[in-house]
Amino acid sequence: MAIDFSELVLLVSGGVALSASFFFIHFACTLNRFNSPLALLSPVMLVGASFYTTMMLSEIGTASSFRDSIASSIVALVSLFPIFAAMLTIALLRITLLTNRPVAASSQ
Amino acid sequence: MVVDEAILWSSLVLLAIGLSLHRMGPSFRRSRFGFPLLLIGGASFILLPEKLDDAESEVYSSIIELIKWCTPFVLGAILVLRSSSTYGEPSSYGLFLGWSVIGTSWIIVYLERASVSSVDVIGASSSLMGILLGIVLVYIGASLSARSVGLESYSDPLSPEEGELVRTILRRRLGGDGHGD
Repeated sequence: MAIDFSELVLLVSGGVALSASFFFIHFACTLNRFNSPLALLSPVMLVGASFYTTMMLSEIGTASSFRDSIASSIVALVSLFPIFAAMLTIALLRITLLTNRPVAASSQ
Repeated sequence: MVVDEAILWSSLVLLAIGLSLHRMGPSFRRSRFGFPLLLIGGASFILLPEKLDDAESEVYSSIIELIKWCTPFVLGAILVLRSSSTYGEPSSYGLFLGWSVIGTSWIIVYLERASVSSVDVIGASSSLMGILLGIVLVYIGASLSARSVGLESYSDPLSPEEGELVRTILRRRLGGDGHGD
């Protein structure tokens, strides 16, 4: 089974929409007098651009294909977690092996 | 979109809002809503959806699988850190228990691994590329907007009394035993 170019572009635009939506929510929730409200503009524009890309390329309906591509991005992100866990496991091994040795007096 | 799918997406939005508010810290009053929203989002994500479409069902099952092995992994990591001499009281029993829990979580990951085809890998890589591209573009947009605002005004210079106060504080802090210059 092959994957065509328009499907790849849809997946990339889904990823952009996912991260931009998260940043929009984050900026909107944490907005305070030290932030510029203009920062909200870039995530909105990115989500709009992703939606437009999906509208141009999808064959099964814009909304469902937008949902599909965002869902694929979440699944791809979740599939990375074992890699993070492996890196953490190595760090924990180093902590266990290197810091639990009995420490002798270095100078007397 | 039917109700269950709407519940799933709303729960994810609630989780994102809760996380953002929680990360604001205690100096902002709205941060107190962060943890309750996280709890409501998590509970509605796990408990409420019943019949989901293909895409949402895939999201739901992947996150539930993540929770299944991530929870023992985090608990084990906390135990190992608390039982190591660097971060807590050294304890061989705690270390053994922590590593057993971490080992159990890796067994769960191994047992629940799905077969992966090259199409899946290409699709996942495209999605991840999109996520990274989104992060980079938002960063560029946010830094450009921060630069465009600029300084509103310069602060006024210190008055003679304020200047004397600052001088006194610096003299007390840096002057040592009081016999310096």
